Amino acid sequence: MARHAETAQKLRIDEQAATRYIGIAILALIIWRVITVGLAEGYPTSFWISQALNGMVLGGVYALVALGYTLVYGILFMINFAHGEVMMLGGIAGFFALQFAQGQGWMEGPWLVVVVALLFIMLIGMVTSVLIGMTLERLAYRPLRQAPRLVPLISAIGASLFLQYSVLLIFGVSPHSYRKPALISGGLRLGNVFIPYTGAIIFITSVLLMLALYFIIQRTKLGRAMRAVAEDRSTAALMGVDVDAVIVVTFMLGSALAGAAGVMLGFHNTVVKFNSGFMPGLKAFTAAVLGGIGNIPGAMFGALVLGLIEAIGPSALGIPTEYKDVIAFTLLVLILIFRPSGLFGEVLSEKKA
Amino acid sequence: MQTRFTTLGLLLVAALALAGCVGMAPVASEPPAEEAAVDMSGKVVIASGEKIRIGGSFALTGPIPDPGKDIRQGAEIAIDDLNAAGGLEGFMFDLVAEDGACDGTQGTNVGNKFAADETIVAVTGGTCSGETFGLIPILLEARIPFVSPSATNPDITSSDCDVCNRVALSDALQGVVDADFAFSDLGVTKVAVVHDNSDYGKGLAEIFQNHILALGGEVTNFEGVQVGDTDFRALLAKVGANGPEFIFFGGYSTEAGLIAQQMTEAPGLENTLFMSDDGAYTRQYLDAAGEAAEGTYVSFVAGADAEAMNADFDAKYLDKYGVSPDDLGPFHGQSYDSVKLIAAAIKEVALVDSGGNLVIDREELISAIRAVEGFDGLTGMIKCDEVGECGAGGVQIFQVEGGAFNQIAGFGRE
Amino acid sequence: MPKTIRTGLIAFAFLSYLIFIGVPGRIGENALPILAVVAGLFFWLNLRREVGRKGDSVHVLRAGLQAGATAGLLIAMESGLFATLLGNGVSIQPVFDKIVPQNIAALLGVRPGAIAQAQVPLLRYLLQVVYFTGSGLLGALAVAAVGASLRTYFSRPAMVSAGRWLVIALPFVLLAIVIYLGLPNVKLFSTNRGTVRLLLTLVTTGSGLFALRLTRPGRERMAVATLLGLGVLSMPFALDQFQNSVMGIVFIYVMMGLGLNIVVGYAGLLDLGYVAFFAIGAYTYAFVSAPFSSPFIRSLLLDLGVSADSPLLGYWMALPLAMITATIGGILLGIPVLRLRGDYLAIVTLGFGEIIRLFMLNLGELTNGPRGILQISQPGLFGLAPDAFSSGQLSSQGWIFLLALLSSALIAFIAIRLNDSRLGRAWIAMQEDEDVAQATGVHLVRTKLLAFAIGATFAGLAGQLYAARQINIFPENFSLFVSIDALALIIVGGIGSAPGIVLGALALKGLPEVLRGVDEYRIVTFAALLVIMMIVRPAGILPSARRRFERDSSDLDDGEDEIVVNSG
Repeated sequence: MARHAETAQKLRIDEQAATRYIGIAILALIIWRVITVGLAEGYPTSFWISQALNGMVLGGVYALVALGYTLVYGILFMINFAHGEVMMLGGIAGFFALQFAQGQGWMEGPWLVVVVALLFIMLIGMVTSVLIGMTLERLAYRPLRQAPRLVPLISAIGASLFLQYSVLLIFGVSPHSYRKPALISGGLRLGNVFIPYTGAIIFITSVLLMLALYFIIQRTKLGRAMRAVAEDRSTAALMGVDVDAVIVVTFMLGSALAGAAGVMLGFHNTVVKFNSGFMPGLKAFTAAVLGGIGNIPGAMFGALVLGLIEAIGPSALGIPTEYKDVIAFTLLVLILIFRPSGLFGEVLSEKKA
Repeated sequence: MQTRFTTLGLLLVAALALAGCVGMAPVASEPPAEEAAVDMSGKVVIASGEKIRIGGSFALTGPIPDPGKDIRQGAEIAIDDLNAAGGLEGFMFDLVAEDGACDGTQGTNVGNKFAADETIVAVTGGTCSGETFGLIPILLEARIPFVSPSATNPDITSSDCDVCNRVALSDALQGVVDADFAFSDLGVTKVAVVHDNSDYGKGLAEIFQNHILALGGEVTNFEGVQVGDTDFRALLAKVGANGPEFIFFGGYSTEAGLIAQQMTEAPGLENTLFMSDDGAYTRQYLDAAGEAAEGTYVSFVAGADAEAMNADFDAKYLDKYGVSPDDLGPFHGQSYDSVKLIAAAIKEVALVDSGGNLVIDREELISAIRAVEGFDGLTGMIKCDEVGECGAGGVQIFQVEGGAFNQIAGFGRE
Repeated sequence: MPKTIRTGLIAFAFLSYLIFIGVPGRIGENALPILAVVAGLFFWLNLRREVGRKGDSVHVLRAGLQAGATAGLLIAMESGLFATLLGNGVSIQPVFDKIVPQNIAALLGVRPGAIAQAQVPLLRYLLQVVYFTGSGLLGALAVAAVGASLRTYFSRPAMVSAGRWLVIALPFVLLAIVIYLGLPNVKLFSTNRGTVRLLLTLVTTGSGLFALRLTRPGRERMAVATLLGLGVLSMPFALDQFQNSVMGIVFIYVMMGLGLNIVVGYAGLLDLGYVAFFAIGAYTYAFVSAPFSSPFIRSLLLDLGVSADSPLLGYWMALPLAMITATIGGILLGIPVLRLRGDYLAIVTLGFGEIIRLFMLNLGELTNGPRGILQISQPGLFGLAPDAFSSGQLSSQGWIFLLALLSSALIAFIAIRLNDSRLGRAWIAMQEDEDVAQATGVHLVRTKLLAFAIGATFAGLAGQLYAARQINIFPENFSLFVSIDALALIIVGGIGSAPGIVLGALALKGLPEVLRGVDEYRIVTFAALLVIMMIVRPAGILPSARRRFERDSSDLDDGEDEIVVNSG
């Protein structure tokens, strides 16, 4: 028995060494490709800066959604597949709030009015998402808390499809186009680099919200309760933590972030439709896993890495832009092979998936 | 344990009763009774009282739902008109509308559905080229002829396919006219070409690229995006690095609008002109592009405008659907003509047998469509040639001014 | 808030949803009574849970009355609001796509014109209240009359015995009806016989599975199984093109489900990228069958001096090729993910599936991109087309169905045998706990790779048949939703159980085709059922023996099947 374990131990070490070498080889290959192909194209520096900025904005959106995934996963160990749809519904609600604000003429008013109106639109989007998130939790997930892990996943997939196609039926199949107010259309032009205002807002907001969330989790009583539930649900309950309430609050927090992301993405990309939450949702989940699911700074970092890779990757590797998703998913596969629990590991709880 | 399964089993018996109920309820689009179907192979036999069923593949979902709906409604008006005129030998026409979703996958599903339904005489559609490519092999094998109102990829019709017909004009024409316009009228030589990887968009983009090169222009980038993408900034930064004077986009409304809009923010593309195609000649394009649409160009494969007929059609359309046809999309006229064309061909070959059944020979119908000549449609004088090109009219170029399309060159203005 | 009022509110929310998605307008003039019946069913289910337990009849009836009246009043107010708005020329459609005069008119039982001219008699609103109050009463009556006694009634020993034989006989009776309906001069269901027959075919096949489960092991089961097998084999000959094409796709998904079940159900490896192997099988066959559709292969063949205009290999010759490429794909995916567990594995496989799809989409030279591979040839038998070798008895779709049926049977046999083998036990040990399994001598690498490889092989087989059935294939045929469908069907049917998979495929791939008439509502219905199904029967409709055993014996410690609602 002991010898067997020893051999197993030795084998594992060899395996680790082998994967490390393979990893280094792949990395070298990528760098070589970037130097010989990407840099040889002769793009100006401003081009790379522009692409990096595009990537950071994209990353900011992914981050807001990824934080919701990570929160829910960290506490319930379930993939809330419908989280992208929660974001999309925030965007749809924001669209109608914007229509209303435009109807009232708020968008042409002095800048303070416009800012307040934009905050109002954002609030509407967030409230809608929170309501949807809470309903989802109550109807589709809570009854399944004791079920095997696959069951809530299927339920979540069902909920995702249900939300998408209900939006299609209720609000129609045509995309909804956001009309940006003058205040936030356009952007800063620094030489050959252009920073759209919406992009800057997305990035800054996502960093602020991430910090706020990190503060809530690490420093508040609620955060302590959340971490306790993540660690061990039944012990937390014995210690006087209202587990149900904590889970509901978790969903509310995650959904509020998604709602904010939905509205901001609406202003940035100007189009929302029934399936516009699906791909960002998938990417955000990828980002959350990349950073180590359950880990809040990890989700933020993973999202930024993913966004940057998507924006810079094709040009740097000299691959057509159509392959940006291939690059993103390949990166995910590679990172998980070499770091099986993400770049930063799981932190919210140490429990094995 | 066993009792549980017995109960479940007995619930199945209840489900059977339910099945009976469902069976009683009339359901909208149904493959009807077998007595109406073929027993002689290669012939459709329609019993008296049954309808002449024409399949329709429309892009009701997917990237261009509004134009798809418009095309369906155009076809429905044609069916109404045919039936109001007494149908054919007392047999009424019926449209079996399916959602082709503008892609080959769904087009294939729709094709398989029509092929499995032996009462479908002919098909109008599909809306998009990719969707139609999905239909072709299946309808070819099932010997069901189709007439597409709006699939413009040049390869839709060919000498290999005797069931393939269309009243839309081929992109071979549109791509060349667009390239001529850009090179000669606008005087641009350095262009970038973007497409959406669909049969339609990519096909058109390739034709445009080839003709620009033939004229002596330079193509700085030839890039693809996916239908459904919304963030084109990375792509546009890449295109902008080469500083083109002009971007041509082959694809559909939403992507075209978003590219036009995001171009205004991309470094190196501040003064670049933008042009798209008939897939973008919609309200949806104007909505998606917003103010950035101003000054951009689109082209459209238009039919000749038979004004009196069109006014009558528009009135019927407005009355039936509560919207004016041009609000939804541009191809309603072609759609109307495509159904009328099919009906005209059926009229040539249909026979009433001794039992009062209407008999349509599939092979005869296939050749009858090709033989249609000088039929006066909404889009002009419809005449089919030997490969199935039945369209009339030419390519028009529009520029967006004050939130509306304004024709500046092309067919009807020379 | 009293519970009955709450029930009324929930019913109102449910009915409002139906109004917003445009159901009344779709039904037409009978919308109100039909909705009332639907509401009645809803009240029945709800009242049974909320008041049924303590309920004397009077109490239940009063509850039904209150709930129904609440819902009715609210619906009347809602339709009044919409009717007034529409009557005053306010267009609601830019926001709510389905709130159009036609829809509201159907809800009120008036002509659309009456809405536009704002001439809805007050009586109509009153009628709505009456209808829905009535449905509340109806639901309550059902609770009071039937109550929870249904199950106890059927559970009496005499009923069990009689019921058992009734259920075993059911599939044969149904099959007879299906065949009868296919006879040339039968006049029943003349307008929609195709759909009725399809529904009956699905129910027949499904009831066969229940029948089989109710038989006693041994000679009785063998006899019934043989008869059922013969019955199913007769189907491709008896059905017409439409039903055959649906049954073909159902059994192609059964093949896939059985393969995925090995990976997920037996070995416990959550694979969300299973579609990749399906795609590999399909494209492999597509390349050899329609080389002219792929620019790269076409030019390669022309360079080699071979004509690219005809298939390189027939269906049967290509079979090993499709299987081998899929197996290789399975091993290639398996090796890098050996160390991953649980959800990390799920997301990596998902990524792999997307990568394959994106390659299919963007490698235009090889796969013809989104334009797809067209004109894939159909399988024959010794070079003969199906109607040739069966002398007209078998249509092309029937032949696909038959092939899918036989392949499913073969795969099911292999899968069941594997599950009972040493390898199967190793899979189960690994599923329970990898570390313990390794400590007890299970070779993890080999065991995992075998699961991936075998699962992939079956998916490759299914993919090849799918390509042949579709004639054209496109990258979009192989989206994430295929993986999700396959996963959903094994979970709905009962993970780890072969009959469950067949039932899952019938329910998830077959029933939606019956609903074609209500095409718009297909996906929301499917999605809602998926959620409800998971809540009501988390272990699936026909759970595997092992899971049933676990569930029955371990209610206390993990309560796998128990619905635990933590608080109200």
